[in-house]
Amino acid sequence: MDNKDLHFKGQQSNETMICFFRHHWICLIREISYFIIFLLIIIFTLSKIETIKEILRGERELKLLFITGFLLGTIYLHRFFIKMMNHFLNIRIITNLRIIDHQKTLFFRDTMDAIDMIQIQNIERIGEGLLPNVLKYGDIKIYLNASSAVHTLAYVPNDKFHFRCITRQKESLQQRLQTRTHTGLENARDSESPTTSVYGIIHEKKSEPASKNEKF
Amino acid sequence: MSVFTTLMILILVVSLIVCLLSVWRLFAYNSKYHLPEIRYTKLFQILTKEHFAILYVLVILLHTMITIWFILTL
Repeated sequence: MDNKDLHFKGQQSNETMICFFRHHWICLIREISYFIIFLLIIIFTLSKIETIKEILRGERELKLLFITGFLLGTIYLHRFFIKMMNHFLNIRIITNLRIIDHQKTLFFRDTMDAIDMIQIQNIERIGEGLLPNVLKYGDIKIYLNASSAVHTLAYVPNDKFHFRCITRQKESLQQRLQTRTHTGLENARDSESPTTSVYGIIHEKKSEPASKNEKF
Repeated sequence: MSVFTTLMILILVVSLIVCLLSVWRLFAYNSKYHLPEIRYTKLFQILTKEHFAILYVLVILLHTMITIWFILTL
């Protein structure tokens, strides 16, 4: 199985992407509301454009004021669309091996934080308030082993589903590791001198001669 | 050409450059990340980033055309 960079940059060969999600749309409500007000102002301005032209003709100071307003409006227009596109670039990915929090914007930010499933000690889902319960979003807190570090995934859409997804992937990985340990222990009983890795997985020493096709 | 017209055209040119840069960055991101979009990952279960990129370009072009018409008829 070679899944290297299949769905995202940095995906490992043996890593399978389970799902990904973005922030809940509630984060964009403020921007969308302001944009609707902005649109209403623009529509009103365009409806009175002839009056504005008559006022501006020959008035240098008013033209300067108009340019300032035009510049601010143009900047706000760009800011809105760039913010909307940034929403799509900010993703969280759940794979069979880890959780990746990719905070990215078009121009200024590109931060990737990966949490190994093995490092997760505890997961907590927080859904407090009317809006989170009605609109089905919440925070997921991930407590890590061997440290007091807590990683919070805020505004997770359909938080119950993603909470279950992370829990099941964690359990699945633990079961796979236990199975490998168990199999290794059984093989170790039959083999001559086993070695033990950091995670307690028993590796069998190879006593058979190497075949012609085997790469070293 | 008056100072007013020059400044307006300068703002339009910078505006177009920013728009094209943003869309180019977005498509560069698309080339590296092939994430399978489903209904639940889209905004309001319909809109994707490509929709916003197209809308952005159309809005900026409309903005440019209206401004040029305004300058010519002033």
